[in-house]
Amino acid sequence: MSLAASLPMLVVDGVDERGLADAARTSPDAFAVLYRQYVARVHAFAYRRSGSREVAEEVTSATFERAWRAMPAFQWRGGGFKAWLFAIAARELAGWYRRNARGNGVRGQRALRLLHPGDVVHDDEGVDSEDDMALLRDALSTLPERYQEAISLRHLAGLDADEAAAAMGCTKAVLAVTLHRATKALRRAIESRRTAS
Amino acid sequence: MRTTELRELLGELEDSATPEPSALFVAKLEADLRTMDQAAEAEARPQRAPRRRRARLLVAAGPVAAMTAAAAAAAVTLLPSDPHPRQVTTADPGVTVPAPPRAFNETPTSVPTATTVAAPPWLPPAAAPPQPLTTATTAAPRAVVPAPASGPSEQSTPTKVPFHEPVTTTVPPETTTTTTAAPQTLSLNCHGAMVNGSPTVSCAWTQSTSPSFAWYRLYREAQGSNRVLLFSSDARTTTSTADTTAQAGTTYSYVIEATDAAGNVVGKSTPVIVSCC
Repeated sequence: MSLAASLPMLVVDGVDERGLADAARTSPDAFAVLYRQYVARVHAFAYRRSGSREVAEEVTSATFERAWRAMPAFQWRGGGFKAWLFAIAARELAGWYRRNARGNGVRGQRALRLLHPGDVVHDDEGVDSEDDMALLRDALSTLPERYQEAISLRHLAGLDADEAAAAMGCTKAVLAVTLHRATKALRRAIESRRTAS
Repeated sequence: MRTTELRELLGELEDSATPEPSALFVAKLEADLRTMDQAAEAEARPQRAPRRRRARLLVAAGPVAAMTAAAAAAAVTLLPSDPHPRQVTTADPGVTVPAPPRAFNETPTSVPTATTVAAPPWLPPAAAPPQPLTTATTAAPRAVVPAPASGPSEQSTPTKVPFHEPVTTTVPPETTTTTTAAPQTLSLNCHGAMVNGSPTVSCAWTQSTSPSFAWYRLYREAQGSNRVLLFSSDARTTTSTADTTAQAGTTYSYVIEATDAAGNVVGKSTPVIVSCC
């Protein structure tokens, strides 16, 4: 068989991610490739959810450490490695908010921004937008963890419906219902905070 | 607050700018992960070692016990048929055996006395002074038999070592060494060419014949960058692939490795340098 004939089926997008994930169950080198591929995306996800570079780094570290420990038991399912990894990240974020509930309020996040001004990436809308984002994050952290995971995976991690459902271990229909309820709960939480302030 | 407003807010958050993780953080985390891997390997190692030692001890104890019994039997056959009064001691401590048999009508003493005779010629001479009976330990396999209670009924069977009699001895120093087979040499050929207008490096290698084969892994390394796993396959008959991510004008080094299920390299090629394309 000529080499050219074997080209299309063996390499997809440069790297066969399924083969890579299977190899990563026993090979640190293969896991290192996946790590380099996803570390920026997990970090961005954690940063969007927390608004803090420190928290993003802490959650990213915990996510990959947990993933590496769980890697021998990894099985390729719908959504693949990406959904599996972001599910770990979403749980780590929810766990972080549970452990640090006191500092997650709008005032706490303002204080965090004052302490670490370099952490904030400013956009054109300035402080109002930052407060809105802080309010949204604060309200999100008060929801049940499953609601937090559904909203985070679907809206902040950039997973499509199939991947988010696979990450949460449910069907798309169940995910849709969960998202509907989570959005409703989030809206109420934001309104109550706006009223209180 | 309307649902659409909330969705806009979520969309705004999703589209918001995020900082890249610092290179230092990325490198440190990768180093931490590798340390975790090494620590896990180090933790796993001591759990296996005691099993190997125990296994070796059991294997070694078989012949030693057999030699001990044989030496004891041979030593006792050298005893005079007429028992010497009480004890005979030679310069060479030799083999300690039970007291000689007494005549049937002789009154047994309450405390049996041990008799020491010369060691059989096939045993090496003793280098150490006589050891107490209960702590007899020698480097060479020398027979040690505890003195049983004497009596007329034991006259015909003083040479037998009880089946479950514990034998205290020192296992000879381990001489076995674990040798690992060198990885099989695989032949790798890579050629760069433009396929449908894009630079492509096609690689083919010889099939691994290692019985423990589990994976092929093709690695690529460019000058000044890290080695990247490019392709992996668990099919032994898959012996070619193509790198469609190669950049024109770049020189790469390719290596194919065959590994077992535990990730140990069982076959490897020499690096092949390809200038693309």
